[in-house]
Amino acid sequence: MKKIVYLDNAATSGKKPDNVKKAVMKTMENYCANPGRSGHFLSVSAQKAVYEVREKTAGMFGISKAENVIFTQNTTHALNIAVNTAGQRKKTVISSVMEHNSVLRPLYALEEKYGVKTVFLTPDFNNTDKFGEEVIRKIDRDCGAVVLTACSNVTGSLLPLKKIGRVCREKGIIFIVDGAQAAGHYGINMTENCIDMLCVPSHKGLLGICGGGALIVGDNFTEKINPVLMGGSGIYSVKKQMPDSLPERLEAGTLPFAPILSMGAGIDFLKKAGIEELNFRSTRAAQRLRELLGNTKGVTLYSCHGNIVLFNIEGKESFKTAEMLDRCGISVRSGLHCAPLCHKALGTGKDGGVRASFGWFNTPSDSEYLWKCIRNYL
Amino acid sequence: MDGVVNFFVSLDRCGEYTVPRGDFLSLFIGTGSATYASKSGKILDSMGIKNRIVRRTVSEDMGCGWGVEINESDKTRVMDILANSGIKINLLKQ
Repeated sequence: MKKIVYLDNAATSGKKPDNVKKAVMKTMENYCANPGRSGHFLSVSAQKAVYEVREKTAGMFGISKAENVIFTQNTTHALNIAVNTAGQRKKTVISSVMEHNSVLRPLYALEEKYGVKTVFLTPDFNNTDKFGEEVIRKIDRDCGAVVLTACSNVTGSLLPLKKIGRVCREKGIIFIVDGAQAAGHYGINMTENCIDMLCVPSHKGLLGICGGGALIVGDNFTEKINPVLMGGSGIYSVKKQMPDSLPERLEAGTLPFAPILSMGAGIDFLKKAGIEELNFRSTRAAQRLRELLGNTKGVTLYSCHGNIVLFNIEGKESFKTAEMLDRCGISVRSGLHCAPLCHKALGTGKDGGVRASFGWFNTPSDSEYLWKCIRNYL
Repeated sequence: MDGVVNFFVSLDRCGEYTVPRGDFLSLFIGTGSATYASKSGKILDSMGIKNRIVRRTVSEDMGCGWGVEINESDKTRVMDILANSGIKINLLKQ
């Protein structure tokens, strides 16, 4: 049987805990019904199960209002809602070159639609602490919002959220955080970090399945949030507009029930196993690869941290390297990782780089196997 | 109308509690979402108060809303609990 080493956890987590699998089965076996729509027993049971996950998610990210957890199709959907809310102010939005296209493209659209000015700051990838000061320096009276990733999907760099969040709160600036890579890998407390809107996926660090995500709104955020999708809400069917109250205002159409319940089970798993312990495992495995590649002639290792390793083999296009690794049974991702500005800042070139992203189940021996394959390829 | 919960005790939906018809006061309190109904139901469950989440027509110009059925004898207590939990209540007699 072919050896498989999955190192594409930044795209989606490769191994789901058993309780997550059971939760997904339960959606088909126990409540095969539409939550929040019908009044029969199965539908109400499904709705109660969804509400449990709202509570778990609120608790996980440090807010008290479960109704402020809005389930979405994915992080991108959540970010579109959040970024559009920022755009309503028609003021400058500060962001970074580390952002994914799920932030960049909605921001570019704001430029076109409202003439909103956007500023993309470049951090020192080896010392992102300084970046907080740079963002704060850029904040002026024309600034309406700050939109930042908590953790880069290309380099694994973390941004100093608390420092930035506090200044945003003091100045009445909306603080939006893309938690796609950080959620489940690092603790994020929205209240402590003064985050107004946090966007997370069901299927990455939270260990659920693909097809879901959440926009989590801070307890004290009062600005009106407009939906990007409109449709059925299960209430007020005669009204021509979406209802005013959260979460239904932003949850048009049938909810992704199985991804939501899988995410709840993932949160249970993270709580039991401990986020720090799981992060220690993935970081230790990634660190082993950084050590090996860093001492290998012919390999360019870029500034990278945590569970991410970004590299290129000199003279080889990144996708060729990824294909070679795939033949060895190693799953990595090549290219620009939907973060073109970040690659430009790193100088990886038009082909981008090879990203190995580690999960809680990976071990240093996975790194040693990848390194052996690279050595044979050089 | 944010955060307002449907809250009604129906004359014809009392089977779950096996209370004879007529022992319920038909009440309708406000309008609300399935999320607020679930929140209310969970709070009431945790306090050992019998309840059932139900869906009803709110009004002709609104459509459907969600609520919680309870025993009429729990009415005052339930209203206090929900109000203290930040759930807005709009009591109407049906």
